[in-house]
Amino acid sequence: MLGTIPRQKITSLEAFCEQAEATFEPFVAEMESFVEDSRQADPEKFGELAFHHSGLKTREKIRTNLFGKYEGDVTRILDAVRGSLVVPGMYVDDLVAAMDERFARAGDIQDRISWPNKFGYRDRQFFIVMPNGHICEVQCVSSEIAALRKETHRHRESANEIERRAIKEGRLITLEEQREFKLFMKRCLGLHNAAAISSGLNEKLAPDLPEERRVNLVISAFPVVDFAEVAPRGDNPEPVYVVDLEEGALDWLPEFSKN
Amino acid sequence: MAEEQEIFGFEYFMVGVVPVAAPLNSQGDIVGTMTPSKKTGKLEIDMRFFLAVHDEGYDVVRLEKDAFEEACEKYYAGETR
Repeated sequence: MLGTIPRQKITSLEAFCEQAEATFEPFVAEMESFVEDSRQADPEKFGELAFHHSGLKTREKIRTNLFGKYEGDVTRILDAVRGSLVVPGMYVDDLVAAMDERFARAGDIQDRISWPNKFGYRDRQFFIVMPNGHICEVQCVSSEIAALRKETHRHRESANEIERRAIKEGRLITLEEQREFKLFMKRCLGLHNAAAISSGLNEKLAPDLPEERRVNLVISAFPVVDFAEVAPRGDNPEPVYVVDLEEGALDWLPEFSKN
Repeated sequence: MAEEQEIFGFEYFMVGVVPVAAPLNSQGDIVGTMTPSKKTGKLEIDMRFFLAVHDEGYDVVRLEKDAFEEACEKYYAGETR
């Protein structure tokens, strides 16, 4: 469920870029102040809270998105000014609640912790309205997931390259690229899921997450060779999954997983 | 020569304001992305959205086929903004 996605008020690209540039520093200051106040108010939960950003989005990137997927509609650009707040997974809900108390929120919180993406990545995206009306994006990420960024970024670069080649050549991905891409996805899924298990994030998966995706997530953390769904057996109406694990995997799998 | 993949079905999305069809191989994996072309009035290969439909960010919405076809009609008519 996406809920409401907010829109910027400005409709001219030039005015939008100027507003974003004017917003960036106050946004960073606001986030740093929030971090400091939260650490002091609740050191147990927020003692390790940190804010990261990778600078203001360039005009070139804004333009690429604007004409690539928004057909020139400036009001849809929400990530020109953005950053991430990182906290241990068990306190992500507390972080979101604290942000909701402190900031003027625009639209609904986007929840990729309940609904991880196809790479198994988890965060909660929060849109805040700055005093000048500019909407900024804040990703609330668990430190366990954030710690994987360097490693997943390496895989991501390979995927970007596959996409770049296919764009340039105007074709679907080849069988060979598909194998490479699936391997990359499996690695990311496994890494993210192992982090999600250790930080308790898998307990927050949406109850209505499709069964196939849930199974993919669960088995991705283990050295699985292959798996298949077979028909329910006997009186048990639940689907049965036959999982082919690497040799020796059962020696270290926790008891619940063996089921 | 690189092996081409056979298409067995589609998943449908809106990415921003653009309707996107994602062809699937026999294992149900997405092998590319296609968008409606205002020039030809047909779906054309447009791989700019390949990673976006995997990322499932806030500007990516999954659609049923009927909703996708409706979105394409609006897109051709310039009504998706």
